[in-house]
Amino acid sequence: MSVTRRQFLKTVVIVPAAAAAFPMPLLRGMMGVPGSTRNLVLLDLKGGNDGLNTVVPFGVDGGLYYSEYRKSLAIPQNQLLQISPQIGLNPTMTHLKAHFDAGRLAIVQGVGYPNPSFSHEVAETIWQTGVTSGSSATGWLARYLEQVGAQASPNAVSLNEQLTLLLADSGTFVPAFESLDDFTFPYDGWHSDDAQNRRDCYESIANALGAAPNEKIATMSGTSTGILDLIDTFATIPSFSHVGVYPQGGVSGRFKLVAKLLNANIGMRYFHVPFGGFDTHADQEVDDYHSERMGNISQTISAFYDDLVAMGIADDTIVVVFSEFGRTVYQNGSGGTDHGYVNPVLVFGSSVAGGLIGAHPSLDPQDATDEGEPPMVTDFRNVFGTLVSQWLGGDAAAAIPGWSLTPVPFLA
Amino acid sequence: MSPPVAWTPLKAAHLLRRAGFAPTPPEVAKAVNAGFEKTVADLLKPDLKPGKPPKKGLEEVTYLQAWWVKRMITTQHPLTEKLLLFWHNHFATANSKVENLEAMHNHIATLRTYALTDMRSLLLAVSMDPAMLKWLDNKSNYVGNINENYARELMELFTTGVLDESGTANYTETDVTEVARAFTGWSTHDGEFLFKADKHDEGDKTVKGVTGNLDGTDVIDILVNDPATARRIPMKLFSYFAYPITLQDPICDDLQAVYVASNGSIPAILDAIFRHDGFWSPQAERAIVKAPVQYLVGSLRMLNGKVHGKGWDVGQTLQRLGQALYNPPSVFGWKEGLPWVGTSGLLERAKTAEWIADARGKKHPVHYDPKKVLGPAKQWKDMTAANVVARVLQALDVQTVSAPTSAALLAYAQADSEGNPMTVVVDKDYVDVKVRGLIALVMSIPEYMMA
Repeated sequence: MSVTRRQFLKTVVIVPAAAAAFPMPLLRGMMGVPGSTRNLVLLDLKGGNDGLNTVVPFGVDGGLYYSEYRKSLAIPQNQLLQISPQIGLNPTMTHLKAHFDAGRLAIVQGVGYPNPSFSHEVAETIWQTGVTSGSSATGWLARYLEQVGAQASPNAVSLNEQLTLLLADSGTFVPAFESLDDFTFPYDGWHSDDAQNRRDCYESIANALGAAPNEKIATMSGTSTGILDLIDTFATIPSFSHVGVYPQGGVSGRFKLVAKLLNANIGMRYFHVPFGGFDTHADQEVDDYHSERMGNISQTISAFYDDLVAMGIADDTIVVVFSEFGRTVYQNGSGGTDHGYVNPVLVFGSSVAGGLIGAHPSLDPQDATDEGEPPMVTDFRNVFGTLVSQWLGGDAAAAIPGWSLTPVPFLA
Repeated sequence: MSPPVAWTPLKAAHLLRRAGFAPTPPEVAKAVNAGFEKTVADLLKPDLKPGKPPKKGLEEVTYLQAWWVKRMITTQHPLTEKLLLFWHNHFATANSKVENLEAMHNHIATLRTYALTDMRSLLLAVSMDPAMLKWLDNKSNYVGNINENYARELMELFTTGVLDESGTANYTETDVTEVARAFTGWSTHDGEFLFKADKHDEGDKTVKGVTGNLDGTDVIDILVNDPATARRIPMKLFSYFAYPITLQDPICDDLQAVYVASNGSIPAILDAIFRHDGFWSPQAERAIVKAPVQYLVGSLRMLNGKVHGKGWDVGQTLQRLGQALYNPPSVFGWKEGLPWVGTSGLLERAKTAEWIADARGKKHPVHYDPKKVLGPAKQWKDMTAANVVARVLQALDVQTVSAPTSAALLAYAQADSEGNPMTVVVDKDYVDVKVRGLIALVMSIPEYMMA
């Protein structure tokens, strides 16, 4: 029987022992570039998260506008988790409040870009590619992956059925999946005596990349090979006992998976975690819908942190929370809010310099943009550029073309 | 009118692969005999029957998905179903928020009724559809307390799009608000459309330069006649049926003219697409990545497969493949093309291929006969392993594979249980193991994913 690609690779690359519960210092720092020892989790809130009910500007502009424009949606000041004379967190975010007090949460305020789009698709494209014309099909993180170059096994994961634009077009294999349970082959072990023959055939076909007649078929062949490698890899990674206490449902399952993959130490470091349900045009607080979602995120990130500490990689890992736009200051006729503009970006981790970064945008209508929205304070390209250059040790100018970086001070 | 190409079986197969789910030999033969004109005319005949889902289908979406898939497997009007899938994705309304399967069934039934009419009729019907009114919140869009969700997506997704071919914005944020005002009061009561006059804004509005006491119907007229819509809708249809193009492509000029001349007639645009040089060009050949529904339904049609019982597993399979009918992932619908065949997509297709190929026994919801795929038994004794491989490829509509793929399939066809080459004797046992295996493998290779 012919040698499988995985068997071949074992002879040329050191594959970390799957049994280790803690990271192998040998593999880390091999390249001497800061990024090679660091992890990044990007939590992407889909639909346009209502930042104004997350990081609440109750005292901004003398407290005139927040509750005036949100007759039923405004959260009373005495319920907020106050973090400054003017700002308080949503009452469900007790865990993140504790981390804020410990200096582990930076909140970059009023993040946006000039001439904003209020379209989900266009705005998402802009945030994920860093190109404000909305015409790029390459993610800014994908451009960083390109700088790092192809690895023996994937270093980035799109935790979604389809590959996110953020990680698209890197020239490297980035798997997109939601669960490790899917990685079994064959599906039905009925004819187990012929299964190995089928597997060998599938593998031979996948490996014949050079013979592909066109790009689409070549791409699929590459993905097929990647799938076979992942099936082998995932079959041997250890189960992981979570130290952190995760909430039920919401985004917790995805973070638990990230923790398990980090613990497995198989080279996966950069994770895109989408979390839907934020396009709250109606009934935003019916059954505390939005607040509970934020509470779920807060508790999840905190539990994830506890896992990171147990693994000894807390200082090497950052979680960033962002969304394609915020929502209107005013509430609409359906108990909800419509597409807005600027939003806070949360940056979490023990290597973070915590605190509020930048003033909160003014809510005074006189300061509003042409579309009637609060003005931008920090450009999102500076937030992501800082991650690329200072956290990952990459080339920010190459990752976000046409942008001259002014770093945002959220790293210690 | 003479056909755009010499009408051969290969050309007929290309049309049927695009205008339907798969070019099965009887359908190809029928099309060749009927000629191009009659084939296109027959394809464009709509299947308007809404159909009646089983009771379980109105309780659990998986059953509703299975019911529609079963219809697609046996339909004599494949173009209606493929076009319906296009509109379903275009209007991307999902049960995850609508939370009412009867409303979702009615939504699709409405799309079916208007799929082959014209843009104005279609948009008017959709604007009054209770599922859509819930999906994009217009049912609570009231005067003095507007909700812009529907207004925005009506322009951004359903008609003009954000930017035109030169990158100029097709509408402003003010237009969004004004359109929202025009649609105030378009609501529901007891699951049916109801215009709530007391909730409607009777003031003057200005939408794209037109001022007056505009209501939703007026806005639809404005948008349907907008050149951006006249270009974008045919562009999307061409991209779906021929190969992906952008607004800048000169092909859009030809189709935009058809839209305008026919007042947005969908059959006229489709007819123009099926006659267009672009549709018959090398660029269009095997250029579309099969969506999960086409993958599943096409495979079963080619294998002459049937789904027995309510088919819950079939619905489940469709979800795992990434196209949960009645439940698109968001307001922009499913992303077509290579995103269907990423890590998860390819893995699930390989598993689905095995599930179908190895379908045996009464309990399995899929029934097909691998012996029939191979052809009459009396021919088997003369068949070599290479013949068997060629026959399976032909049955599954794969014309060409690379030399290594061909070699790998041949090696498989000749491999015994230890993986060593054996002398091949095509009998019932061989068919039950190896032909099923070849079916599973061919349904997993990249070439099979392209239509």
